[in-house]
Amino acid sequence: MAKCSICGRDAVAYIRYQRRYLCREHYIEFVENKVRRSIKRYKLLSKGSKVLVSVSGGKDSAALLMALSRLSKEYQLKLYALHINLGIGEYSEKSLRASTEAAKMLRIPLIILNVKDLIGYTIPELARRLRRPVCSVCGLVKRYLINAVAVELGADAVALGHNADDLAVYSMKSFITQDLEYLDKLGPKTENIQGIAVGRIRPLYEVYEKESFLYAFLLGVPFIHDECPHVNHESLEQILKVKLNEVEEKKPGMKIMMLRNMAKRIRDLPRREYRVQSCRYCGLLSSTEVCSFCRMTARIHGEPLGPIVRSRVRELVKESESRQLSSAAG
Amino acid sequence: MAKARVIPDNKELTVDSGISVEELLKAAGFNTESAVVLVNGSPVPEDYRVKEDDEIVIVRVLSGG
Repeated sequence: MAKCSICGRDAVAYIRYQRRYLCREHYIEFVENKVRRSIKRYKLLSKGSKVLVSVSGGKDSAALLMALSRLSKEYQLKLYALHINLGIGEYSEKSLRASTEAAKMLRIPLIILNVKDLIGYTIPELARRLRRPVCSVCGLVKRYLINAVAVELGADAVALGHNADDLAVYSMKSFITQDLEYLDKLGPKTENIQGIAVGRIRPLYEVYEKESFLYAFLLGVPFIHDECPHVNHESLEQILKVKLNEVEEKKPGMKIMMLRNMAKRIRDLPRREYRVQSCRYCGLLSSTEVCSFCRMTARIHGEPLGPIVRSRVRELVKESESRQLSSAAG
Repeated sequence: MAKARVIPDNKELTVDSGISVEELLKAAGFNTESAVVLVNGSPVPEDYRVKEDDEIVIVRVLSGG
C-alpha cells in the first residue's frame, strides 16, 4: 500500500498534479487548504460574513457546507443553508433528506423552499407548460429563489458548489459556442448589487470534482449519489467533461491552470452590456423592466408571482432567524 | 479473482488479482479523473493492486449537486 508523502500513513489518494500521496487526514487538509487559498486569492469572504450556502443534496454542496462549516470559526462566518425542493419525484425527496441530514449534522440552520408550494407547479410541470427544457426552467427558478432568500436574509454572499470541472466545462462550452460574454459569469465570484442582488462565490473553484466527492465521503457528510433524471448524457457539457478529463490525465493540473488564468483575465473578457435595474413587480435584479421570473410566472398564471414569492420567502427567513434566536437563548 | 461493483450503475465486474486500480478503471471504461475506487470501504490510490477477496466498489463521480 502506498504511503502518505507527508506522514507515512496509508494513502487514500494520489494527487497527480502534485506528485504526492495523501492519507485521509492530509487529504482533508489538502482540500480545505484549497478552499482557504481560494477565499484569500479571490477575496471571496471577509471575517464575520453572513453566507447563504445553496445545498442540493449532492456531493459538491455537501463538501461546500462541510468545508465552510469547518472554516467558519477561523473566518467567524454566520452560515445559513438553503435547499430548494424542485419536485423531481424520488430524486427530490432523497435530495431533501440528504440536505436536512447534512445541515443537522453541522448544526447549520436550513431554509427549505418548495417550488410547487411557491409557484403551483413542480419544475417538470413548469417546463411542460412553458414548452421549455427542464434544465433551463430549473436554472431560472433556482437563481431567482436563491437570490430572493439571500436578499431577505441580508447575506453578504451566496456560496455555490460549482467545482473546477463544472467551471472548466462551462468555459469551454462558452468558447466553442462563442458566447464569450458568458465567461465573465464563470469566475470565482460576482459582485453584490445593493438591495437587488447578492454576490455569488465559488469556494470550490479550484477543487476537482473527484476531490469534492472524496472530501465529502471521507468526512461522512450525508449526500445522495443519484443522478438527476433530466441529465442529458449527450449534451455538449457531458461530452466536454469526458474530453477535459482525458486531457487532464495526460497533462495533470491543466484544469487548475485554465481556471487560475481565467480568473486573472476575467476583467479583460467581453461583457454583455445591459442596464442593471430592479424588476417593476418584485424589485429584484433584472436586465429589462420585468425580470425573467416575473415574466415566466405571468405567462402561466396571468400575473407575475415575484411579489407573492418574495413575501413568502420573507416569512420563511424570519421563521428561520427566530428559531436561531430561540435556540441560541435556550 | 475479485468482484467489483460499479455505482450508481449497479453493474458487476470480475477482476483479476494483481491488476492495479488504474488498469481496472481503464478496463471498466473509466478515466481516473471520473471515478473513485473503494477497497473494503476505503478509497485507495490508483497504483493499489487488487488482492484476492478484496471487496471493490467503483464509484462513478456524478456531475451536478
